[in-house]
Amino acid sequence: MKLISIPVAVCALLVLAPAMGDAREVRSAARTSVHQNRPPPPPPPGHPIPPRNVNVNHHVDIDVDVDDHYHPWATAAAVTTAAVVTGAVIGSMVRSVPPNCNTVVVNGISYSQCGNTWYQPQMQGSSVTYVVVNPPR
Amino acid sequence: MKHAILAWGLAFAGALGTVSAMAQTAAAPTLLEPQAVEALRKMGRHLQSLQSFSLKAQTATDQVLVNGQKVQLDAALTLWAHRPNRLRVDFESDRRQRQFYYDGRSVTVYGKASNYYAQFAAPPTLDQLFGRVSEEFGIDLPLADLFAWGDPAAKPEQLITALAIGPATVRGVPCEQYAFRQDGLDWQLWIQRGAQPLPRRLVLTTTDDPARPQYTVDLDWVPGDTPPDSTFAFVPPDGAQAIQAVRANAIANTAR
Repeated sequence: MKLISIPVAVCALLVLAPAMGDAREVRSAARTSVHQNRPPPPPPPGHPIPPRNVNVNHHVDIDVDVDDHYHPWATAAAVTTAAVVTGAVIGSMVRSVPPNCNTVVVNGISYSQCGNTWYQPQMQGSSVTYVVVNPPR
Repeated sequence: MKHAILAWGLAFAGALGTVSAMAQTAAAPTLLEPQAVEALRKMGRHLQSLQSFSLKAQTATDQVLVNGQKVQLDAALTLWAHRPNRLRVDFESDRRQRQFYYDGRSVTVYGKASNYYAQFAAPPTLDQLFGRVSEEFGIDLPLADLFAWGDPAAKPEQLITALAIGPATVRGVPCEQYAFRQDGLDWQLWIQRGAQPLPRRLVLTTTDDPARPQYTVDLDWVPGDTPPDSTFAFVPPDGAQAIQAVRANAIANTAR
């Protein structure tokens, strides 16, 4: 790695990143308990749950948490690893925010402000996720 | 020519069918060795008799990528328990640190790196804790089995096989090894020999996933350890921010 100059390495990463996205997606994990984490029950008839936007399987502990901003080794299905997209959609969810965001507390609620985009952190299962919200007033 | 191919195809399909039928008949018989079932019960009774204990555990958990490739991730757990209503579990891996506190009134989940914590009301005793936290908040507290074994209120395992494998040493501790099978899960258990039948190793193989991911945990017990009450009380560290715990049904609704 030391042989490659930093700009080249960065370019290589940028080129590889989209291709790696799929191959590094976690689809499942081993059960960790004889008594707990059975697969979630099937949805009632007529109420299919499409795997859209949110797919944090809360009954299997998928360890792709990146709340420390480094070593994101994989992605969970359909949850963006880092919010690098401009104009993030209100209500969309990410597993981490860019490193240059500020923590702002408004009316007792903690937000992460990254330029014009505001995120509200939440504990989802044992993972911290961030929901894009309207700027608080 | 077309007919020949079709005939071969049918013959091949037939052969496959026979093989799969054989595999199924081989897996079908229930074999519950009384020795293995009794060892499990005895260990359960012993676990339920422990009023206070702590332990350190090493876990290895397979994560499965979309292409079926497995990646094993290690973590360390430290657990303190005091019946009927105190629990603390610290989870630490190279990319995630979590602390779970239960004091008989509420559960706190704390993320060290993010300095966020979520707190919510909890049932009054450990017996109800694991199921409720899993159902309501999608949190599978680590090592829930240690509290479910021997609990008369816990749903019993639907065992298909229970086998006594024989003596085995786990990290220098003489144990007896057992192998169990239930629907979707093969699991093995190493129980310490002697007067304190404690689980020393547990291996789970998820068999309803074609990749058959595995989870291994080695347990290093300190029975009789009486952790001070402060162990179970969450005191927000400097700058820690409270965030909301998302209810599991809200997650399902969002996904709709």
